[in-house]
Amino acid sequence: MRVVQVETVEDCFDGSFIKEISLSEAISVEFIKKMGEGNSLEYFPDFPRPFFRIEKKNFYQIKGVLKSRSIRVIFNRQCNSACIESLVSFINNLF
Amino acid sequence: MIYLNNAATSFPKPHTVIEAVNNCLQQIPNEPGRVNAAQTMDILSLCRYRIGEFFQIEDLNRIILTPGSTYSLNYVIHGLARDHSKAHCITSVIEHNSVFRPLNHLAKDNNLSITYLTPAEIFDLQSVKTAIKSSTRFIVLNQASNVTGTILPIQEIAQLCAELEIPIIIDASQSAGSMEINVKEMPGNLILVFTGHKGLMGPPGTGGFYIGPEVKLFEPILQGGTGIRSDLLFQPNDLPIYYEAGTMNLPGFAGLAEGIRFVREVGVSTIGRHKQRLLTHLKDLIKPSDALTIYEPLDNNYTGGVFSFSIRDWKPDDIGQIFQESYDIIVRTGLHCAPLIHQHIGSWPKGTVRVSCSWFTTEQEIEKAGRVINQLLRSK
Repeated sequence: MRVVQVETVEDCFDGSFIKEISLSEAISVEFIKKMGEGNSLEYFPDFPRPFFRIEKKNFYQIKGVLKSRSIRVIFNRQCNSACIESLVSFINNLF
Repeated sequence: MIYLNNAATSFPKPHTVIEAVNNCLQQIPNEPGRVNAAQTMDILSLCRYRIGEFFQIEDLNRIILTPGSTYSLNYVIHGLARDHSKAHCITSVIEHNSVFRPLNHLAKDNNLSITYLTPAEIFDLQSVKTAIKSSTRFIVLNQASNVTGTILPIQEIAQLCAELEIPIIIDASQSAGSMEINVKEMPGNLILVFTGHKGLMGPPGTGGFYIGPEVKLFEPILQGGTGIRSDLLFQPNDLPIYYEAGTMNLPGFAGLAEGIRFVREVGVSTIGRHKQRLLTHLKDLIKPSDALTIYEPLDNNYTGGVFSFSIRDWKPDDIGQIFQESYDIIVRTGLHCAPLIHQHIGSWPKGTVRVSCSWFTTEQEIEKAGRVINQLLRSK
């Protein structure tokens, strides 16, 4: 799994900002589990393509849908470019 | 993919709109005053004629073609506020940022003061009368909210403004194409703003405003080429070119003329009823739940083709993502560019999820949206 592209979606009025991260492969259950390790993971299996939310407290919230090729990340306002790079690096080294 | 974001931009467009745009792009440009027209009616004149028919406007020269409502609202607000230091205006909390932002930029730069009224205050004419000051230069109001569908009593407010000789700007962005608007029945102090890409079924980048005969003309905000009276170093003061500078979006207005023809052929009231029937059906499909909040319009049963809701413990943004990525349905989430109404209806700061349909939306599509909402309600 590699990060293909990071795009800005929105800068929110509370200081947080949203990025869309495109991935080289479709999101699998294993990816969701690994991303959720040590973080708060919510998984909603009842939708045709299950939805998930992962929260790393004080840093970011990741949201996405199983089998999609992108995730949406809401970074807290105290995050900077190093936070984004750290997350990208984490994803690139997951598998 | 199912598209339920028609309050933002209508989709699909009638095929005749697409053909009109295509045909225009394949013809030698025929701009009035710049090329001798070989056709019976040039595109801008045809579009103005169709707009005139649509809104019952007799003097077609008072129809100014623009790139849309945002442009039109900025144009008339800046135009009316210009040269009036310490001017005052009245608006409502249900407006779009295309009203709030120009007003607040003027407030910052030119000491324009703004009175914001709630819908309930607008319905109570006495509150409007009380808010009017000797320095009030204009009132600007949405005919229909893009969040709740609340419809303001523009006829009564316009009449009140006429008595006091104050121009009233009506933003018909959401209502044009869904509700009958008859300029003949409105007083001459009216400025009617409309966009082409929503209910009028035209392409983005089209719209305009009508300026009533009793509105004192303000200085043009933009100056430039008009194709006629090129000897003048100032903008020719004939309408509509007084307010139309530069090369016009001919393919867009060819499409808009066709979109309006389509809407008239189907019938505005037929389209309005269709949208209303679908959204009533949606509401009936949703199972009652304490977790569900529906943001209903104030004082009218017609929702203007929008259905806004939120679900406890779900962010509107998450709901939008589930609709789109899990069910292939596009809805709109958030503040819908209308921040103050959310403070008023209690949906601030996250906003709402908005379902909005068009003439082309089917019952099956709405039923699918209803099933998604019911699934969301079960999933918490």
